[in-house]
Formats: sequence, structure tokens, C-alpha cells
Amino acid sequence: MTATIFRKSETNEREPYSFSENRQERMWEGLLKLTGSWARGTDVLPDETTGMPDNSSTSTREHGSVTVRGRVDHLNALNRAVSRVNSLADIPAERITGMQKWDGRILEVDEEYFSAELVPYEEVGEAVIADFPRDLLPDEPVYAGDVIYVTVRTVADRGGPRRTSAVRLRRLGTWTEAEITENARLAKQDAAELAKYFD
Amino acid sequence: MRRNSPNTLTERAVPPKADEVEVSIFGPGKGESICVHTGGGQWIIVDSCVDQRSHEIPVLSYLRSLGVDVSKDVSLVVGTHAHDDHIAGLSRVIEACSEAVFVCSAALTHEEYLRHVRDDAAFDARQSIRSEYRAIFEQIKKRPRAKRPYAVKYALAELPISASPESGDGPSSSVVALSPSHESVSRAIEKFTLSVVKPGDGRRPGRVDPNELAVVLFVVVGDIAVLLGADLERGPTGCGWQAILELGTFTAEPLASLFKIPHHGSLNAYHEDVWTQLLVQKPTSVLTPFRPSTLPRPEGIQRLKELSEAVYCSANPNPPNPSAAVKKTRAALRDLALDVRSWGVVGQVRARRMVGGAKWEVDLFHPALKL
Amino acid sequence: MLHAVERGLGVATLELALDGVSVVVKGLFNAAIFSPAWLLAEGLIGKSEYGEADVELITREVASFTVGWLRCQVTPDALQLTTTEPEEFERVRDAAVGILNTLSHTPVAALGINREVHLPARDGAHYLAIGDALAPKEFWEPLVDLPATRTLTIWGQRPDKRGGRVQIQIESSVRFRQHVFISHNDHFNLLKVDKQPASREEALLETVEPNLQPSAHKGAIATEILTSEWKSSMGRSTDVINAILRIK
Repeated sequence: MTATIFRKSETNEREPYSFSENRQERMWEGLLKLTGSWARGTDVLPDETTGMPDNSSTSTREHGSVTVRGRVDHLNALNRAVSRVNSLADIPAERITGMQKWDGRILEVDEEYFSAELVPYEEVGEAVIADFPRDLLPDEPVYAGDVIYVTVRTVADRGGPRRTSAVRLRRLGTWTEAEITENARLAKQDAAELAKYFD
Repeated sequence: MRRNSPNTLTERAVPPKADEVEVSIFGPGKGESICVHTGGGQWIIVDSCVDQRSHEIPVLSYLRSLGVDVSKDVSLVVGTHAHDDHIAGLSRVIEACSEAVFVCSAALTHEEYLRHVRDDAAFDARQSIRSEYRAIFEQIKKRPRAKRPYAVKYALAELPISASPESGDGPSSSVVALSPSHESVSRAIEKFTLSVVKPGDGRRPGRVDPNELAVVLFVVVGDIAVLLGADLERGPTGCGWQAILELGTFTAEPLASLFKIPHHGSLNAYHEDVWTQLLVQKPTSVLTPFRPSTLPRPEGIQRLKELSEAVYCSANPNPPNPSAAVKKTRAALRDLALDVRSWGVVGQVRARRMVGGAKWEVDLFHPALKL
Repeated sequence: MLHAVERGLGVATLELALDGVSVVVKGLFNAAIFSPAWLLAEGLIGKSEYGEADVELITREVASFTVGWLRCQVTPDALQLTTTEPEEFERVRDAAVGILNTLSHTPVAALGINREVHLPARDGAHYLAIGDALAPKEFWEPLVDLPATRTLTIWGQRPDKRGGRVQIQIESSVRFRQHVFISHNDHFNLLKVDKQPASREEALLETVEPNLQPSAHKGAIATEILTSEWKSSMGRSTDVINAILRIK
């Protein structure tokens, strides 16, 4: 098995980090051992759900060695350690200084426009109806009833503040056979239950 | 006839007399809602709307202001169809009106529709158009055991919904459903069946339900008849207004003198024979606007004015002046949205007429107006 | 100048160096099935995200790739979905819900909703003041020269009737100079509790987590939590960030 570790170059580009072959192999061997030991270990999982925090020091801090959650974060920690040396002084050029969000439900769609009812994210404030150009969601078909997220953000960068705004479609995947079968069963149950209440 | 509307809350809160019919329409909300006084202190509520600023249900607030005990004096709560602009908040109405029978379109109790309701359960209430129906059915299941067999009626063409004889308390009254037709129900069930999700389909909230399932009611109190048109559209064959006009066993007797205009005055809900066969010449017409599609349109208003003695709308069809909050949203979305508008404030048109009386007396409560 | 974070949005509106969210699901995962193509096929990403796919590694046991705004990392015992674009926070949740629904037979043991920010201090004095406010130095000054806070972990009880805890970590940022790193971990063990501990002593007795047996039915609990608790989790993490920002 081979893998490539990347680092950020002087020009901020990604370039392969050169380990000696032996060192790379030793690293992967270590990863596999951890993976293997986990697979062979108990079926009870540690409870940590902090995942791989985006602050390099913590990924190797906890138990003094790579934790059971750390196969990939070991890899990433290495990446970040390398990039850390180069970029500690780096402050991102772009920072978000303002953000507004709405949840929306599409009411009507035609070839050129779609209308949506927007509710402020925090549900405080009035719902509005807004019309948007259809090409804001070019990727796929859009139907009445679809849910969208609308965001407007103000970003400060070296050139000064600027606004960016976006409409994004909510995606929740696809229906599975199991879900469909279960919903059919529950609907049958609901119909039978409701029938008891009818005159 | 429009009279000088009551200016104070006190004047507005005077209930109708025992033999006085009242039809009040509220909207937009979002949604529209109607309450009808069928005499003797008894009311029916048709559909529901929610005030977008206060999140209250205007029809309940109004009835309570009249001193109506909604838990006892509301006999029917009707959901004319499943569009959330007509039933927003209806589960709260049913919860409050604990003695009322719930009436809904026959198709919406079939297993095929309930599958769509189940599928929609994956989405939160604001995003699902069927969450209100789920909530309604949950309310019904809470009804006391003794009431259970009578908690729900389904509406089908020519099916009587309720009737009460004249008594010391008030005049006779009857409520008959004129739709949906059997054909509409069959078509709807077929559509529900064909549109059931399949494995691999994108998971998304359900699409809009067909207007052809809408429940139209013919309400008679004493010698006064009212036609509540829901969102029913003209056809297609065997469905809609066309099917109502072809009903063999129903005769509009008396002809309705007040008409709740269907589908916010849109052209596809207009059928000329409705005005000659079900309505008196030049009835009083009432409606609510629909903001997403900006209904009624000027040409629709013109048509209605030609056919009616007067047309009253619960709010100006033109988008309202934006509030400060809406202006702020509009400014924020200026790079993205072509137009931003709000549902607006809920207005009320109230029409009252004594049994045996000659005319409807109409009061308008801001922002309602005569078109 | 530091600005207050808008609580309602769960999104920092000040000049944070980085504001990110991750969802971590502990369970038993088959990393080999995860890929940009799989996410696209399952309707969890769109074509534009797929076009930006950048795969670091996909093996039988480890998968690590990004698709536009979404970073996906999978190991045999964990799935982690991350974004550092605040406007995509809800879509990270959606991706997690979608994956759990699609892989409904996956045994799941625990869920974490994590918020991480690197927030700037005005200057060195402010940087130290933050550390002093969170861990006062009067105790340490007689014992060690020039004490300064390096890292701090606080545990708290969940504010609802769900098993788990809240963990907040604050430490010096190693990514950005003179920045403070804050991690807010909303940890759910996918069990229900009748009541949360009423005192810290009682809470201390419960620091040992129950054995977490992964099971397939807990996936549905995890998706229910992601759907119903997301906003309140974001609100709580924003409250923590705001409170630290108010330190002068």
C-alpha cells in the first residue's frame, strides 16, 4: 500500500512530502496495526465524538499517541504539522464579517424563475415570498416543495468588504427500499386507525 | 351592502343574533379561513390561516372576542384541501374546537395519501406541506373514546355533512358537500399511487396536492344560502365545477346570495354556469388574495365586479407596503432575488344577514377593502 | 475590533480566522464504500461539488476526501463530515442524515456535533487576559513563573433528556498566531435519561460513560437528534464563543 503525504509549498501549493521509503512504510505499518487491533478488539467503542479537531496539537495529545480515532487524523496531523511550520503566521485573507440565513420552500417553478417562501433561520421575523432566477440552481430539476437555503454573507478581504449570496438546494439523499416498505406499512396502519374515527 | 364599519373593538365584538347568518373570511395569513354562524350560536370553521407576525389564528381570536366558546359552539371544522395555504394552523383549530367534527376530502383518508403523509414526516414542519395533516390526525386520535366514531366525516359530492331543524334556539340549517366528485377522488388516488416514491428517488418534501380534491360547501340557514368555493377549479371532465353542475340530485334551493370566490379569483376556477345555476343574480362576493401568484389579477377582479353586486377582499391584492423587517430582508437579498414580498396583515370581511332579511350587511376590518 | 457573534444564526459574524462544524458518528463503517461518486449517486452532493472532488485516500479501511465545501473522513469506527464554510453548516447535517438513512443498517454508538473556531485576540495582553479569565492565575503565581493558560477542558451536562455531555476545549491556536482555538463538542451517547444530574457531585459519579454498544437502531436516533437538536447545538456553541469574546 502506498500513500502520498502532501505539504504546502512556499507558493502555497500542494506538493508531495518526501519521506524516506522506510519511514513511510513504518508509518503505514503503524496505521494498519492500529486498524487491525481495533478490528480485533472489543465491540465496545470509546465514546469520544470530538473527531479530528482542526487544531493540530490535539490530534496527538490525548493519550500520548495516536488514539483509536486517529488513523486518518494521524495522517492529517502530519500534514498540518508540516504546514504549521510554514503557515503559523498565516491569517486567512478572507474573513466572514456578516451572515444572514433563511430556510426556504419552493412554491412555484417555471422555466425562468422560481418562487420560494423564506423564513429567517432563527424563526424570528416575518416570512417573505421571493422570486429567484431559475439558473441559480442549474445542477438538477427543481420542484415545488423543494427546500433551499439562502445565505447572504459579507466578507472582508484585502480589497475591502464585499457581499456574496447564494441559494443552495437541501439534499437528503435518496429513498431506500427499507424506508419505503416501512412507510407503506405505517400508512396501512394509519388508515386502519383513522377508519375507527369516521362516521 | 357595505355599512360604516365598527370602529372600535367593542363594536366589532358584538355577536350575531340567533337568527342572523354571518360569514366572515380572514386572510391572507398565510392561508384563508372562513367562519359561518349557522344560527342559534352555532358556528362552522372552514380552513385556517395564521397571522405571520403574531402567529395567532385569527378566526379563533375573533370568535373568542365574540364570547363564543369554541370548545362547544363550533360544530364543524372543515379542511377543504391539503394546500398549506388553506390549512396552516388547522390542527390548532381542531384542538381548540374539541366538540367539532372534522371534515376533509374523501381522498385524503385513503392509504395512498397517507403514504405521502408518512414520507413527508422526514421533513420538519416548516418544510412539509403535510405536517399539518399529520398534526390533525394526531389531534383526532386524542378525542375521548365516546366521541370517536363521530370525530371525522369525509366529504364527497352530494354528501350531507350536517343538518339541524328549526328550533327555539335558531333557524334550520344544513351543510352539504358538493365536491369532490367520485371521479376526482379516483383520479387523485391514482395520482397518489403513481407518485409514490421508488427506491433511488431523491428524498424531498411532497409536491402540491391537486385542487380538484377541494371541498365545496353549500350552506343553507333558514332562507339564506351561501356557496363556499374553496380552491376548486373548473374541470377536468368529471371533476371540479363541471362535475358539480352535472350533479343530478342536487338543486341549489335557495340560490346562494353570498359566494366565497374559488381559488382567489383565478381564471381556471371560473365557470360561467356556476353564476347562473347556483347563485342569485349579482350575489355578494368575498375572497382573499394569494401573494405568491399575486391573485386576484386585475382582469379577474373586473370579471367578478361585473358578475357581483359587490366584491370584497380581505386585503389589497397588490403587495402590501413592506414592513421594516421586510425591507431589511429585501435589501439583504437584492443581489439574489428579483422581488421580495410578504404575506401581509390578516384582514376580515364580515357579512351578516337576518333570516328573512333582504340584504347582506358587510363590515370591513383592516386591511379588507371593497374592490 | 471584535464583534459579537449573532446567536440566532449559530454563525459567527465577527472576524474569525476559521469557523467550522463537524459531525462525528461513532459506529462500524465500511470506508471502502465512501467516495465522491457514491455521494453523488446517493443524491447527497450535486454535480458541482463532485466536480471539485479531491481524494486524498480511499482504502478498505480509510477514506478521506473533499467535495467542494464538504470534507469526508471515514475509518472503521467513525464517520466525520466537516466544513469550514458557515453557510454550509446545515448541509453538513443534511449529509450526515442522508448517509445514516442510506446506511440504515450501520451499527452506530455515539454522535458528536462539533463547532470549532479560531478567534483572534486584539494583542498579547488580550490573549493572556482570555486565558486568565478562564483559569485565574492567583493559585499558580506562587508556584511557577509567568503562568499562562495553554489548554483547558470543561465538561458540562446536557440541557436535555439525552445521554451524553457537552465538552468545551480552549487552547492556543497552533494554526494562527495570537488566536484562541475553541472547540465545542455536543456529545450524544444515543441513550435517553430520565433526568440529568442535579449537582456537580452527582455529575462526577457519572463521568464514566456507559458501554456503548453500537447497534443499527441507534442510527435512527442519531438522525432524529441531528434534525431536532441542530439549531440548539449551534446556538449553544455560539453562546460560548460570544462569552469568550466578551472577555476584555
